[in-house]
Amino acid sequence: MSADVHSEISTQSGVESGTRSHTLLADRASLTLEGPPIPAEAILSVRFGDRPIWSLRVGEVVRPGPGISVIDWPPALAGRLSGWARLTVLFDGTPLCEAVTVTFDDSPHQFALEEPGTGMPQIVNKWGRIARNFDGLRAHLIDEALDEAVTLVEWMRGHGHALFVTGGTLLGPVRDGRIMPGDDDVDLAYLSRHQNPSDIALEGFELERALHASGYETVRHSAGHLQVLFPGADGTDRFYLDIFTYFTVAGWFYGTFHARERVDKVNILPLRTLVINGREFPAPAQPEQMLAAIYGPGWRTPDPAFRFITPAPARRRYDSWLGSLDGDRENWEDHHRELLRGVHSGTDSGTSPSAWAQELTGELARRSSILELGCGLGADARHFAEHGHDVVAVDYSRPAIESLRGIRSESGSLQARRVNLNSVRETAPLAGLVRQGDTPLLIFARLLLNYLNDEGTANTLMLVRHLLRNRKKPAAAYLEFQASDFDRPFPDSRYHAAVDAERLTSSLEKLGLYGEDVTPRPERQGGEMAATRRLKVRAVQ
Amino acid sequence: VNDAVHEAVTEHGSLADQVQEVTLRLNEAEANLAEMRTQVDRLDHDLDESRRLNLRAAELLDLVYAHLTGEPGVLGNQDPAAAGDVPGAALHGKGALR
Repeated sequence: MSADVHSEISTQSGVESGTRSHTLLADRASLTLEGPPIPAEAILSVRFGDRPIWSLRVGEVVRPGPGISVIDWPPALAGRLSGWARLTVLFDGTPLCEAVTVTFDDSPHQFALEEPGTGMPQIVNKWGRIARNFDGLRAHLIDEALDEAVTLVEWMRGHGHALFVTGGTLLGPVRDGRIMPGDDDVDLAYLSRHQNPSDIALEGFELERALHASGYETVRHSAGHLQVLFPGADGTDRFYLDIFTYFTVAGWFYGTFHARERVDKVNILPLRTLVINGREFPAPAQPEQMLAAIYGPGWRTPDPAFRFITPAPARRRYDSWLGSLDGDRENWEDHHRELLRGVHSGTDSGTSPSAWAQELTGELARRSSILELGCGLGADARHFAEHGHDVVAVDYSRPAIESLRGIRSESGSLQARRVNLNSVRETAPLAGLVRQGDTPLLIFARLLLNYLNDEGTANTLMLVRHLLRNRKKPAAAYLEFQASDFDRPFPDSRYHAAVDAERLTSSLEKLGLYGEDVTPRPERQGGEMAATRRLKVRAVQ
Repeated sequence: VNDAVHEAVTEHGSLADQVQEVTLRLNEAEANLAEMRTQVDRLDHDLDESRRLNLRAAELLDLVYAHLTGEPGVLGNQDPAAAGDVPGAALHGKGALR
């Protein structure tokens, strides 16, 4: 925030930096500042000890009240708060209140927002996720990422696509003459040669397969957003390169996943050259126009609380044209990494087979074929394999699948594959299992449907249909789900929903399937009563 | 004076009729507007569904292309260890899922 703006805010509200005009209170749910109203446009920095943890814009987060401003903790952070911490809030770089010691619960430890297992410092990022804080820690990585980006630009040129820098990788150099501190990824885009969303998607899919053929590992977020991954030795990503598909449709420019402007307001071609950390990169013809389209007219002013608020007309088009594949994957991956590091223990730690898997084991024909959908860390899949069955286990979590690789069973077998069931391109090939083996087939999916989006549910049920209706040997699907509201499975989880059992039954019927209830029973989860339903699904003969 | 009163009463009567007429037209316009809003909502929904199906068609077309050209498809490169982890398995074999 500029000094002028700050001065204006101070005059209007009586809030002044350096005056410690407020008193701070906090618990596990929220932080309260007692004192004069704080202007909506002000940006606050919340510090735990001397570390800035979270930057926020008052108008977007604060609930004002008489003489107080209440700030609810982001859910991901609220779920972690424990012990005690020394808190303060800064306004324009100076304390708004005296630092106070806050107690969150009975734990005697000082709270530190650190990655469990590794101790890496973490922050609340612009997506509201708890993420590693790279400030000053991994500065060298951006040079490695830029080197890989140079290679990728060349590779793409050889495949007929002109990549250029965009997003944060364009913003830092254009605004500040350098990469932004803490930036550890590279944003790249190409302008599609097509103007029909279906053709634009197909072009991206073809590019994805070509990248795979050249040995690149990718994750697809949507039909217009591909991420090229560079994993590190510890199972996390060292860095990644984003490839966004930009395109024009009916006179409008679309800069996936946020920008939408009249096409004459964003001139991309001919590309120009921009030097970033000593390397030459292609850049849009008018970088300022691109940055205004992405970050708004205020892009020249650094905004630590920046987050994308995509207007509804743009959001709607991106959602329906390009879809959304990757909702909660990163959070699940972080959760699985924590479990694998042994941070958590107990029945939810992913190491023990479920009661239902154990029950079913006794009922299965010898050497059955089992497909487990959404296997997580694979305790059930391992259990089935150890009991002499041949198991294919799929999940979209890379650490979960990696942890299952190389696991061998004396009696059965286990294949682990990374499959995103929200993507029909990844799900449909599993139908090939119908031709594999000459044994009974069991499809097993525990608490999967609660975490899939509508497309994922449709893909999964269609896969079940093909496998059950076309398998020559007996085949059945065992689906377990929560049919009423339930607690999030871990603090950082952002998406989960109760399954509408009637709607599911109706969907099954339309597919020529029917489901029988299996031992329905209420279970207590997180202090809330939640109905866990089990269905055995078979094809109508 | 009587004429003036009569005129005023007649005018007021006319005004009341006009108000009633305007009210009727407003009610009619309101109903038409509500109907149009419903239609726009339905068309919006249809448009979104059409766009979603276009994306679905593109995804399926990509699967067909990959299949016909013998390319490994989107899952092709993910894990050299994925196939054939364990010997002797009915589901094993490179490309078992392709």
